[in-house]
Parts: sequence; structure tokens; C-alpha cells
Amino acid sequence: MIDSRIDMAPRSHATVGRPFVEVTDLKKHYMMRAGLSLKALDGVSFSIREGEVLGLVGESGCGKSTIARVLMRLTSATGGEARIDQRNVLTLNGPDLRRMRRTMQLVFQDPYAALDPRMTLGNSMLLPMIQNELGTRDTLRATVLQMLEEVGLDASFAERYPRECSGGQLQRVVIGRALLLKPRFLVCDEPTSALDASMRTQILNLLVDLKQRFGLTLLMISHDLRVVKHMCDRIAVMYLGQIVEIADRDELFARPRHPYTRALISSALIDETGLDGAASYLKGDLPSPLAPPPGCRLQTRCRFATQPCTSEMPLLRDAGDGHLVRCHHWEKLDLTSVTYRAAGTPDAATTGP
Amino acid sequence: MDKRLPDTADDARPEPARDVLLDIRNLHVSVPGKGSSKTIIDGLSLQLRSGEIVALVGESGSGKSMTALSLMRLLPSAASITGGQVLFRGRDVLGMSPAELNHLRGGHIAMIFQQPQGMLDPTSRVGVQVAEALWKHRRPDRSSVKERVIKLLADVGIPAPASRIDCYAHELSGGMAQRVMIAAAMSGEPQLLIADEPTTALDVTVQVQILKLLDEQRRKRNLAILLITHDLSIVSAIADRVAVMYAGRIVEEGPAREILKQPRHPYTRALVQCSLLKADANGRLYSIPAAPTALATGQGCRFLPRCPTAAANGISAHCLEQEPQLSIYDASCMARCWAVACNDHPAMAASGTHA
Repeated sequence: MIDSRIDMAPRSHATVGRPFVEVTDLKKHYMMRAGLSLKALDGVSFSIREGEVLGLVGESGCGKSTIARVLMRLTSATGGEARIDQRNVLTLNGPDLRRMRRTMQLVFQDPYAALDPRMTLGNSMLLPMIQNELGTRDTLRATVLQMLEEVGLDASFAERYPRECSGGQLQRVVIGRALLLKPRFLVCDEPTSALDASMRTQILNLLVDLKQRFGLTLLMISHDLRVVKHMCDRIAVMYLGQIVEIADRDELFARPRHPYTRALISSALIDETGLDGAASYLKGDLPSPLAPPPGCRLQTRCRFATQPCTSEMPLLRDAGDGHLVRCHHWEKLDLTSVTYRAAGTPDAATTGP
Repeated sequence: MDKRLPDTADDARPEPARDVLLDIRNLHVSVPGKGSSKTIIDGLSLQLRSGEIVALVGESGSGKSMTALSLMRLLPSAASITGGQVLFRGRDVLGMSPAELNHLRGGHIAMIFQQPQGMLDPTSRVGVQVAEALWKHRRPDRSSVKERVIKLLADVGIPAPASRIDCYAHELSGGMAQRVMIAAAMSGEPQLLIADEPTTALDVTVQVQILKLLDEQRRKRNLAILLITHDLSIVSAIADRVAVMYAGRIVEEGPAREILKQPRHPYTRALVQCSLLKADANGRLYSIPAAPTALATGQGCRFLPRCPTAAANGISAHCLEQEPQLSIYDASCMARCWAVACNDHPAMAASGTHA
């Protein structure tokens, strides 16, 4: 008989050790009209160690949510490998896939869309457990109530409907529902983007607690650098389907090596840099992902683009200590200043803090 | 056009300076609730001058978008304005005829929204939409319209504008669509732009560009901008003044940089601390205790159930018994808090504002 109660005992938590998630050369191409293909993921590789929190940042359309969907097998991959706990999830099928899905769960951005408006929150939480045959409705009720408490809600929420709750409360329910299946790997896709500032900090605190408590390995997808800075051990930056930089959190914020990373960080510091400072590193808009520029994908927006950038795609190189960067000029660039200063005009840009 | 209505007696604010463009006085908006009606904006007063950017901030449900819609008389049919005045260049918008409102909307006050893609008509070309307010409000010479539209698009930083006028909304990126929205708003040559979360749906690097563009437009056109946002980090970068809303009222108001650097109202302080996302020594992020409560009609301070200051120092009788008024604490800052009113400027407590 399957134990109906969740195992609330903390696992041997926070042992940041062997790679738990290993993604290698992952590709996802969408075929569009007239033979065009959209390379949403164009050879993405990264790994997450057990108990680690990896942040994935980038602008909309860069492919970060596609990674979540491919890893969860919500969409198929065009190529590559994604090993979770040493099993390639991309080739699993049938009961194997079903079992695997329990160990990895996804939390979406919009909790209102993630919950059925006609179902009580308690039933929404029960459903995945019943589908996974973890017990019967009656035996699982206590588990649900226990989980509600775990995510900071009282038992009365089990009888409520989504419309009776705030976004923050619903996001707690969504997170609780994901954890009921005892996953080991949790993917959070913009978990706080739809929430107000005060709710956001509550949910982030909750995620930190639950990660410790349940010994989770976490992939945090966000466009908000402040969120990943707080939550993550390591951060990967994506641009148009490729990873352009990966580094440990403190290293990335202290010494960004890629102009795009620098631009993201400066933009996030807008209250310190002012408008001119924040906008100084990049120009223009994201090009269409259907027709990415040749060579380096950032070349149309980059202040430092020169000849090799317009024709040759830079490779992801190790700049030391596992700090990977995809830029032809990384050795020559000094990106320590928050605002861009053109060569020879030291005071051209407004001063940083 | 510029006939001034007499001041109402219940407004204790000083007589507005001559350059005040928009003067909201003691605005009340309510929606029908269970049994009785519910007040969602409760005695809001705010002024905007030409060329000034004022940010209206607060959490969802605080009433900031409803305030914006009231200014254009665009409230949903269930909501109704139950009191106050909205003086635009001295004329009360609340008493305007449909014809006058038609002229006001787009011709004097324009508005842009969070989802530019959703606000553009998907079936009509961009150039046509930008020209709409031009046709309606500026009676242009037919032969010059195309040229003026191209100039408007160039003015908001759209590359190759002549080739863009025949585009449809779906062919534009989010940032480009917001630029088109701004061009369309500017084509009626308004004096006031209401920007409701104009950058919330955009990526950070594009967000900065749009904010720069708004700043440019206000300088070039001496445009006043009412910026509605929940993102405090952009406020100090672009706004001259900030008004913080809580439960339908302004709780703190003043120069943006000063207020955000040294907020005095416990709610503003809590919001600022939350938005910094800086962990304390234990790795915890600061959060405000409970969720915003629905508007209570009882006495006492509305923020009291969540107030960290009261939680730390004990609740005073003042806080329980009487709603504090907006009181002036520095030359140009106001806060609605007994701690601010009593400790620092007891004399100001009663004279700062309206009933």
C-alpha cells in the first residue's frame, strides 16, 4: 500500500554535489511557414548540481520558458539530451515518463491560470496525487491540509475557490500542489512576476524554506535580476536561443563578461544609474528570432561589435573558474562600469553610483 | 475654456499655482458592494504641473488605475464618481458634456497602457491608427497627414518610419508597439499623458528605452505625465514627484527621490524595502505582514492591521480612533501617519489637508 502521507522529514538537504540535471546541446526548432525555422533553443548546455539553484535570465523570446517546457516533456526537443538524475528524460515514454514526471514539477507565472476556477483549492491539490495513484480522496485529505500549512495557509483554504484568494495565496497553493508529488527537481517559471512587491518577497522566502526542507534542486526562470540574485547559486544568461554567459552569482554580478549581461544588470539598476546610465550598453530592439543576425547574435545591438562579430559565431569559452562566456572580445572588454563610456570620452555617459 | 470654478470649502490645500494643469480635489469613487456601496477612491487630491512627471504607485487594488480612468471619465459602468472635482486647466472634467469629453480625450489628455499589442487595432495599419487623433483633434491638411505621421513615428524612435506606416500591430515587437502607442497618443498634441504601467509588459532593456522616450517627450513638449506603476525602481529614475496610494487614499506624497530615499510613512517604507529584494543577516527578505484588507469603513488608520511601526512600538490610541490626515513633514513632503504628524509637526497635523 502506498503511504498516503508525504514524507515531511527533511532530506539530506543542501548537499551541493554531483550534477543532478545535465542538459547537453539541447535544440528546439519550430517549423514555420515557407520553410523558416525558429530556433527557440539552439544548442543549450548546462548542468545543475544536486541541491543547487540555477537562475535562467533573459528577455522574452530568448528561449528560457522553452527550456522548462522541454525538460518537463510538455513539448518535444529537436535534438540534444537532458539527463535528470542520470536518466535522459527526452527518450522516456509510457509508465517511465509518468514516474519521471513526479520527480520534476513546474510552477508557472500566473497562478490564476494554473488553477481551475471551478474547483476548490483542496481538490486542485488532490487531483495530481489521485492521478498518480498515491491514495484515495479520503486518505489524501490530511496530506493536503498538511501541505497547506507547510506553504503558510490555514486549512480553510482547502474549501475556497481561486476567485476568493489573492495572487500570493494562490501561488502558495500552486507551489504546494507541485510539492505534494515529492519532486526532487522544481522548475519555477517567473513564479513572482505576476505578484505585488510585498507578495513577491513572501513567495521568495517560502521557496527558500521549501527548498531546504524538501531538499530540492531548483531552476529559477526569471527576467528579474534582483530575484535571481537573491535566490540563485549560479546564473545562466540567455539571448536568442543561446546561453551567452554562465557564472556563480557573485562572480556574475561583480564581473560580468558579456556585454548583454552587463546591459541586463545595468537596466535592473535603473534607480541607481538613472535613465541614461541604464540604457547605455545596448541599442535597438531584439531582432526577430526567425531571422537572427549572422555571427554573434548580439551584434546588431552591441556597442563593441567589430568584424569577427558580424560573421563568426563566438563559442562559449571558459574565462576561468567555470565562468563561461560567448563573446569574441571578452578578454579585451572592461565591463566593470555600470554605465557605458565611449573610448576617449571618459565623461560621455552619466556617472554611476 | 479657462473659466475657473470656485474652490470648494472642504479643500484645505493651498490655492494651486498658476501653472497647475490638472487639479484633482477630494475625488470619491465607489462601486456597488454587498448591501451598501464600497468606496474605492476615498478623498484623493493630487496636482500635476505642465512638464512634470508624477508617479502614482501602490499595490494592485489600491485604486491607482481607477484614479486614472476617472480623469478621462472612462470608469467601468458599475463604478461611479460620488464626489470631488477633477479640474483640467481650471475646468471640471466631471461636469463636461459628451462633446467636450470627446475633445478632451485624445486632444488634451491621452493615455497609454500596459499591453500595447492589445491596445492597437489588429486589423488596421499602424499609420492609420497614429493619424486618428490627428484627424479628430487637429484638423490637418489632407496632403500633410502622411508626412506628419512619419514625423511622429520618427520622433518616437521608430527606424525607417516611412516603411512602417503600412505595418500591422502583429508585425511589431512589444517595444515598437509601445512606441507606436506613444506616437498615436502624441498625435493629438495632448498636454497630459496618462501612462498606466507602460513598461510592465516589456523587457528590462526595452523598458529603459521607453522610459527615456517618455522623458524626452515631456521635455520636448512640456508634457505632463501621470505615471502609474507598481515598480518603485523606475520611479526615482524618471518621476519628479511620487504619490503612494493605499486602500484608495494617498498615504505619502513628495519629491520622488527624497521620498524613496527616506520614506516616512510605514507603508512606503515597507514597499521600498520589499522592492529592494535585499536579504537581511538571516537571508530573509522583508515582507509586509498581511494582505491588504478590503476598505473598512471603521475609524482609525487603514494601514494599522499591517503596520510594522505599530507592531514594533505598540498601537497608539490615535491610530485606533482616528484616520490620520495627510500632514506636511518637510517643505514638500506629506504623509498620512500619526507617528509623522505627532512626533515631528504636531501643529501641522490638522492643517495639512482636507476632510
